[in-house]
Amino acid sequence: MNLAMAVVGTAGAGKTLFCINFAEYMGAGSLSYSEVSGGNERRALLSPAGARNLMVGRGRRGNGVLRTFTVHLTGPLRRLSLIDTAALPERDPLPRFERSRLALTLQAVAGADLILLLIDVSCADPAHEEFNERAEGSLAAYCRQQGKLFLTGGSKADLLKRAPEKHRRRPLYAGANLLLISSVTGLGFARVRGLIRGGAALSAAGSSRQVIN
Amino acid sequence: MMFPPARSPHQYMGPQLYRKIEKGEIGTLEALHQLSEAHPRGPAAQEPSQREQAAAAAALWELNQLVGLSEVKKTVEEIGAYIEIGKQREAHHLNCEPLVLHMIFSGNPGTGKTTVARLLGRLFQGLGVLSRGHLVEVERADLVGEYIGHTAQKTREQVQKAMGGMLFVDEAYSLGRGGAKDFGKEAVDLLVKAMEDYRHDFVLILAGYSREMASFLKLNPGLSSRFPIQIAYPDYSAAELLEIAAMMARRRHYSFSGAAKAKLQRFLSGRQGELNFSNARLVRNILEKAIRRQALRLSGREEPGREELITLEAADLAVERS
Ligand SMILES: Nc1nc2c(ncn2[C@@H]2O[C@H](COP(=O)(O)OP(=O)(O)O)[C@@H](O)[C@H]2O)c(=O)[nH]1
Ligand SMILES: [Mg+2]
Repeated sequence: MNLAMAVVGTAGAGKTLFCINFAEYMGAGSLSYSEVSGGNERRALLSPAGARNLMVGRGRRGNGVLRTFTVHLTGPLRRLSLIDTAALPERDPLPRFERSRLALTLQAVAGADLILLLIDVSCADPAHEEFNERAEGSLAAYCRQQGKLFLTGGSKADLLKRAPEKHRRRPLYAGANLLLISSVTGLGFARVRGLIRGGAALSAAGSSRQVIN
Repeated sequence: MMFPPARSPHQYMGPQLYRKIEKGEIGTLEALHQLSEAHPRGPAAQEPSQREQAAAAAALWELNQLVGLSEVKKTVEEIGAYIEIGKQREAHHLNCEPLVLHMIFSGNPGTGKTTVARLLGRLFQGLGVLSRGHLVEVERADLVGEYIGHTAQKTREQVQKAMGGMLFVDEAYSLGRGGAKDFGKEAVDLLVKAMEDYRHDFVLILAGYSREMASFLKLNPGLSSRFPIQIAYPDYSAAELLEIAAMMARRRHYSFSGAAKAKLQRFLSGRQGELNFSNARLVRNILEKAIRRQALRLSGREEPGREELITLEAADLAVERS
């Protein structure tokens, strides 16, 4: 079976680095990916290191595009597509150039089986936090209604100075815990993999999917 | 790929939401909120699951079970193959023509047009081409209004209902009657616009008598080229109709006696080629009438046996020529 996971979040949340490093963690030696922007699609193959160089960080190439990394696996889950979405724009009203990006991101969300919302826990801006909480509420409701798996990850957990327990308790959405993730140290990767495999098993068994976390 | 990116966004999230974002009317949070409020469309995995593939196979199988329709079956097989190969080409990074599946069905009533359309909807859904695959059947009165603006409202409503599936316009040629001032023309224009705008998750089928459809298309130049799939439904032969009648009866746990079959065969051969000969529908009406007449005949009996309850006799067939 195949699963697609859309990784969403605001700009700089760590979506791209997560996709690349998680693909590598899942065993991808080289990354096959496709990029969509302005109605065009291109496909290519890169090493994980090359992809990090090219794609991670602000102002990097392809920050406004929809990028899909495809990881081929053995076992019941045969293929995992990691969709590195264009950032969720925080500005309101939306500037013109961000509108089609948002549309692309929502398209990816609608097409995916599993949604991972990344929230940068090293950033403590209250306005930013409020944005994330509201986005999380809607996404979780949407996923529940559509039978998609939903997961919120607190990214860049390696940068936390306070004890991670404090963050783990943060009541984000309906009492859900924040799964701490670091794409640098690999913290939380095993748990994400477990949840994906669990999700794959659930849908293979035909049971309705659910919000996890 | 799970998520074919070459498709248009509104396939997945509804055209209204997409439009609001593009116009800058709403920001991210409002868009996400509206997405969560939208009508559930079921699991949105784009690659058909095993269950959906099974549904596609079942639809194809049912289509092949239908009596006659050899041309139709061949065309549908071609469409199915085209979709499949398109996916494989995509996997090999080869260019794919966009899939346009709008169709014209021409033929007399009762030649299987609606039945085939329904099966196609299920097939396309199973193949991942349509998200819902349902069939909305309309005719002129459902699309054309009485006053200015009414037609637009009615037509849009039907298109909305059919989104994710197919809109089947029966006797579509009637939209072309009444000349340039008629609101039917407006409905045609709206349908043409819808088939362009929503071509990724919406299939339009125009159906009607062959002769009338041909002149309708002649009156609307440029229309024909928008329908890459045009299927002619020939009248069933008497033998095919007999087979259909037997099948319909079997499904209802009845069967024709030998004499009844012969009588039906004679009747059907005699009416072949007649104008307004309504094909399978006629056969169904005959069968239903025969069932009622058999019931009446048996109701006078003490305790009819199983065989009697099943059998439709020649006397039950009210097919004397008028
Ligand atoms: N320390 C640390 N930095 C990270 C982590 N994930 C991403 N970053 C950094 O955060 C910045 C933005 O990351 P990027 O993946 O481009 O974010 P995106 O815009 O959401 O795709 C980059 O400089 C990354 O190196 C993480 O887990 N830990
Ligand atoms: Mg990025």
